Amino acid sequence: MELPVTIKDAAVGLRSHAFTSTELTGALLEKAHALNPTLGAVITFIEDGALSAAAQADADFASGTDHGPLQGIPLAVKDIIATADAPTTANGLVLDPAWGAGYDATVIEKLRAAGAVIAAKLVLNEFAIGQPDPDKPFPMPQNPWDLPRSASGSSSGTGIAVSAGLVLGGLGTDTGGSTRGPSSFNGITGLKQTFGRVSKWGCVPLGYSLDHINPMARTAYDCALMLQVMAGYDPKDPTTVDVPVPDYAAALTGDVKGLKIGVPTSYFLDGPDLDPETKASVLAAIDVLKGAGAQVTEITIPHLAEAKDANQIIMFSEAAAYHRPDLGSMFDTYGKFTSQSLARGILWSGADYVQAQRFRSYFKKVIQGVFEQHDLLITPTSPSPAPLRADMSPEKNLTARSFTGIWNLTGLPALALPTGLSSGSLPLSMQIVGKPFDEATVLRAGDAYQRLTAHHMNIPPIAASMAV
Amino acid sequence: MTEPTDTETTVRALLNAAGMTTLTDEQVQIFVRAYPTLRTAADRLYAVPEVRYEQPAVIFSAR
Repeated sequence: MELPVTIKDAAVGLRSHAFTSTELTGALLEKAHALNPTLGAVITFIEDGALSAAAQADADFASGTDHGPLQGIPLAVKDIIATADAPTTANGLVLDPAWGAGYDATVIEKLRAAGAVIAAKLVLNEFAIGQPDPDKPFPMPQNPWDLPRSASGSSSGTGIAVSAGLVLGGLGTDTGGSTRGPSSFNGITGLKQTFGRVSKWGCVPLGYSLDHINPMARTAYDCALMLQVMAGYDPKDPTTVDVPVPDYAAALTGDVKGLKIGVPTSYFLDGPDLDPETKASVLAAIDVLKGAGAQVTEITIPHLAEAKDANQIIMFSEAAAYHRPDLGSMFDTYGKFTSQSLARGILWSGADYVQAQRFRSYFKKVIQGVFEQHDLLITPTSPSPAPLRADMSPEKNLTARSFTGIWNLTGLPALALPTGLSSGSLPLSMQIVGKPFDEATVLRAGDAYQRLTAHHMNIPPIAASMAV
Repeated sequence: MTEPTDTETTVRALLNAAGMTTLTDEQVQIFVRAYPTLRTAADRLYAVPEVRYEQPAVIFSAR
């Protein structure tokens, strides 16, 4: 059986009887079992639940019941989001096993109601922060493009699983870049939607005012299909906003004529850490959109380095408040890189946190001014492709620039998508940022780019060579 | 902007106040090394003149 690589293609295949959901789910589970010892993406396989859901999807198709494009589609979930039929570990030994037991997060309820098949709980950086710790009893995530390299984080398992085709889509979370970083390093598409667009209820928090649960898939179109189901006001999550959910797929017309795109050059396209091939691929991607009729302008945004600092102070302060009791009594039960990261929040004062939130109010106005003149912004997602894991450390992370956290600070939608492969065959990525609750325009630009290019269809050789 | 005269004393006091009293010296030194960078990041935000009279993005509504 030739496995589809996108949700869109799988949806067509299910409805044309090329395969059943049971066959598709079984085949992907078989592939995931075969590759997981090498790739380290899956913590828990939800075999029985997945096959039961797949059988239900098949029965529904047979009876003429069609819940939409996600019916019968195998997806997987970052193991920080509650699922009723599998434990939630946050990739560590600290989280109370009773947390998340026996119920689904709101997004999981919605995906199941849409007929999706939840097939696995995926590896992450513990509690969505830090780096993988080889001393803890969890799989070590390996980049499928080059195993010694980082799969980024914290949604590393989702990035790996989608890239290697173990599932057709998955959920990540993003507080400072944790969906977009793995999308970048693993060569897939990931959307951090507007803060408040999707319910966070049922997700272990990292930064209360920065967290998002996000769709990750191979294409912008697939992300649109997932967001369609996930989006919407949830009375259980006070951060959600009661804004109508548009038809995201219908917005994907392929047309970018007249779209005004700003390219902030200072901070994003300069600096000694910016890989030349990353820069070249993003500029080439912008040229593709320009050739399709978009209007491109170079712009300058002030205080971007301070925006990164503000995001970090808010994130770690909010995380430290949540983790303080456990950091005191179980410091060494955390992974060593996790505790090092979380405890940073203890070292700032309450006034520092408020100052970061004051900067946030100011910076929001700066960005609003930028978007009065532009529809979208484009930047690289990461300064470079995936580094070797051996070269990474929390100390280096502390001073490294971030191209992603700035959009958590401002709560804006930001889509990471592949722009090609480096000379070393590592994925490169750009980030498209839009106005609040204008995911439709962000996804339209991403989809238009993917209609004109094929980088999103690159499959890592380790997965491409595997026949099922 | 304050410049701590003894970073390690400051860091140990903050960690102890948060209940993290069982850390080894090696673990404490990780935070001692990081502290100047963390402090600089926060101090930089106080130095942005446009923020001086700004409201924080944490306004509580009693409704």
